[in-house]
Amino acid sequence: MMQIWRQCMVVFRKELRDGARDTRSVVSALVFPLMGPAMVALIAFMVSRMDDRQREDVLHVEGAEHAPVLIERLERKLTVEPAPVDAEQQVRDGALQAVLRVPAEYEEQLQEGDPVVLELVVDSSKASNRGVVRSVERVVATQSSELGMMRLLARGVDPSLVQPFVLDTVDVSTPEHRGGSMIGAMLGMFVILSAFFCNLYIAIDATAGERERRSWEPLLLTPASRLSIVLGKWLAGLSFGMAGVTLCLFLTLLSLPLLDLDRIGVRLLLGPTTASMMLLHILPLAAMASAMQLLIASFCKSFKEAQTYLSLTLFVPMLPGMWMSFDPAPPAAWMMAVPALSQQILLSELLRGEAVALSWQLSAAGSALLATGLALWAMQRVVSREG
Amino acid sequence: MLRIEGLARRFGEVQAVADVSFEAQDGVITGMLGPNGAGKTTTLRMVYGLVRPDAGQAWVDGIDSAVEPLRARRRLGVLPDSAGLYGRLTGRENIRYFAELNGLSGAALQARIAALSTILDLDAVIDRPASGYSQGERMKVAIARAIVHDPPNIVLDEPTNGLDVMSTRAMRDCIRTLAAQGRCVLFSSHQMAEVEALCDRLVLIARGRVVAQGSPAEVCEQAGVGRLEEAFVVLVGRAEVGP
Repeated sequence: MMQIWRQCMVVFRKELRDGARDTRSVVSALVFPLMGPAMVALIAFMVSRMDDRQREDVLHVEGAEHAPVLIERLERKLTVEPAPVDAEQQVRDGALQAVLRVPAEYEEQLQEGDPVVLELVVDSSKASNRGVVRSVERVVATQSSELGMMRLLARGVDPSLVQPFVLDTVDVSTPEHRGGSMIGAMLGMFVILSAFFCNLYIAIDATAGERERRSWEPLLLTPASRLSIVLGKWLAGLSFGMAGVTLCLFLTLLSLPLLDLDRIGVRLLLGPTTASMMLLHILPLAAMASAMQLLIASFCKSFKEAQTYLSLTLFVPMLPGMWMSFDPAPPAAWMMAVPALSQQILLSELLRGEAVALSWQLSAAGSALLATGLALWAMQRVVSREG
Repeated sequence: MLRIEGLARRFGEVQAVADVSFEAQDGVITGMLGPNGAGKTTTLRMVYGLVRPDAGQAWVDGIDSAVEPLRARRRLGVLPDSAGLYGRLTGRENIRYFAELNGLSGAALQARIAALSTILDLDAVIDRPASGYSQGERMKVAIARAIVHDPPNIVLDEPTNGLDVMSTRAMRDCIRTLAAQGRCVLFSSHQMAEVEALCDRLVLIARGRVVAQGSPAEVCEQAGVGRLEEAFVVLVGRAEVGP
């Protein structure tokens, strides 16, 4: 037992030293974790731009002088400017976003109680015009219903008669929730991917790479037990993976104050404590990633072959993250038995500031560690078959 | 001492080794000679327990290498058919890795590497990354790595393959030194001149069987010819035709 441990440490130290001198291993372990914070920054930037865009929407109005009250209300939502002569053509050309035509008979028709037709000229095929249309629609609808009620009141009718239903949405989500759902799922996915990606090259180099440079057979000819060789290589992969995860979280932690998420109404509960908890949750998954990738790569004869297969398997840990961002299902107990999915959920809940039952946390760690054990056992069998 | 008895191994349709028995004594250089594909490498792999024999046994100082491979390997230094180094590690680090896997450490380890470096004339290059080594330097480091744990038995699979004249001479000197120290040295080759220059004893293998063994003179006698090269042609030819 002591001997296995000692030999395992010899293999571990050598793989770390060898890996640290391999530009490919180091670059991939350093560069990929940058993507996590970069992605969070990108989303935050997009969201804040969406907010700014609304304020940048410009509505051109023809005959503004006929409806001063309506225009004043529109001006609260949008920038309103007088329309040029060839307004319709300019909308067609995309030079203007939208043009509202107020008829000259506006005041007269209102007095008479006739419907006033307001014309909105817009190219609705452009997504960037949707904001203007929505704002105008809302203002006109509000104005319309207010005026309608006043007419009913003037005739002695209770306005609530024409409004049988009132839909009142009570939004119970907190800013933590809203931020936690999208940015959290994204960050969780990158943290999980780091655990898989950052040990990829060292796993390949320590198995298929050994075969390719023909150092595998000499290694197997030493009196080192197969188990200690497998464990040493696995620990080296795990170290690279966890280094990547730590780096990813650390960089995100550093970049959060710069992003000013509060401005877009998003709060991400990521502090040193949460980050440490995330590391703890990821550890069993990183252990599994290292073992699985070593196992797959140990079947391959060359670096290229292993690289091909392993980059295909990288898609698998991405699936839960994608699923969670597009169709957020409520977490269920069975999900804790699925490695990667369970960690994705645990990380999301942490970022949302939700408590997760200890039994869930344990079964998530347990299933990943079970998979680790199986993969290491299989790998040891593969290696032993050769002598 | 290595003792091999009735080894056989089949890979699918190919009977790589059919029936190989011989002994390699301590202090003696035993050469295993045979054409390409005769079963030399497979036989050696069974000796160091990397391939399981279908039949027969191989003992390293009395330890069955199929039963106790790790114990057998402690008494065995092997320069295998494929002897790649770790290119990003220096020669010294390459040797140290294998020394540590053999249980060496501390001052004893450093002294051993220093001694090997001097014997093999590696002092000038030992602290450079192995990726920049010449073929000869690579082979020397591979040898140092194989014998760093001071094994009483040494197996070399085609050790002079691809070496230039100077390196080949250095390798031969090294093999002679190892045998003179009382170790059992077994090496394989498909080159007649090499075997003739080095060996005290010969084992001639063709189509997975031992076709002749003994001192070079005895082998010539068995073939009924005067020169070893002719003996090789005659004996291998007989095996190829079959009984």
